[in-house]
Amino acid sequence: MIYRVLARLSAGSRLGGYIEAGSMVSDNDLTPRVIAILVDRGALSPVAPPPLGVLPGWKLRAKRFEEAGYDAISILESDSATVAQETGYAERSIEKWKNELRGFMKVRETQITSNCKNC
Amino acid sequence: MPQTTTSVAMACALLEIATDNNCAGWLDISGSSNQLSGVEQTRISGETYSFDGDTAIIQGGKREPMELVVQSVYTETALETFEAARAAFETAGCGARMCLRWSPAGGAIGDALYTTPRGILVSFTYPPIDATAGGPILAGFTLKVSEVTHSVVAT
Repeated sequence: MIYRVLARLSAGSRLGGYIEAGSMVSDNDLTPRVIAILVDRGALSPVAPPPLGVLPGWKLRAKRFEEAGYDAISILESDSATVAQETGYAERSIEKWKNELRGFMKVRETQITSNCKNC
Repeated sequence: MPQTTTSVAMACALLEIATDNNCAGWLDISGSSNQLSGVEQTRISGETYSFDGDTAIIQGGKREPMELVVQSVYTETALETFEAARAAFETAGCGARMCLRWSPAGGAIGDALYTTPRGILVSFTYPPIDATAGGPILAGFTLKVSEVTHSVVAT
């Protein structure tokens, strides 16, 4: 699941360790409990993924992904080898396209380190 | 409009300082501090008049720096407010630096967090003594900062 950040989030211990409003986070970044609280507080909102075919350069490959039952979020959340097997594309291509998707959707790639003292 | 049910208590906040260059090592001083004030920031403004009309012509400028005042309980324990701030203040050089952040609601997930950039410790209060008083000694420091930024605690 992908979420849009609606209020600047403090993440990590370094000054400037923020996730800015307007960017996206996935449920790999934050625990379900944290996501539930932030959604409840209005700091996060679940988003629907854009159709693959409208993304720049994805018009041709979108059909094959969609026939295999993938949308932008499920591609990002699935194991690359599995996606490669089910779509017939090379695993290396899947990895490259995942990075493209992260860029299009402004999804963070790295895990957030917790620094909350009262969680 | 119905009355709010989400007010925040004054007395259960989280207050932290960081004295390293990157402001990465936050020290929780909530247990040895009891007040943060000077939290109002002002914006420069000015006015002039013309021969016509009856009111001023006004314009706004930049936000002015703030002087955040932390009142601490005097202790002689390392890693508590007084000793941590004293060490930072007494550092030789042009301006002892420190970051400060606070969460009025306590710093749990979803709570607001207000963070300063590295500011200058412009004053520090050494322990006063008073033979007529009965309470704990209070000390403190003042941090001059350019701004405070808001975020929501997420991790």
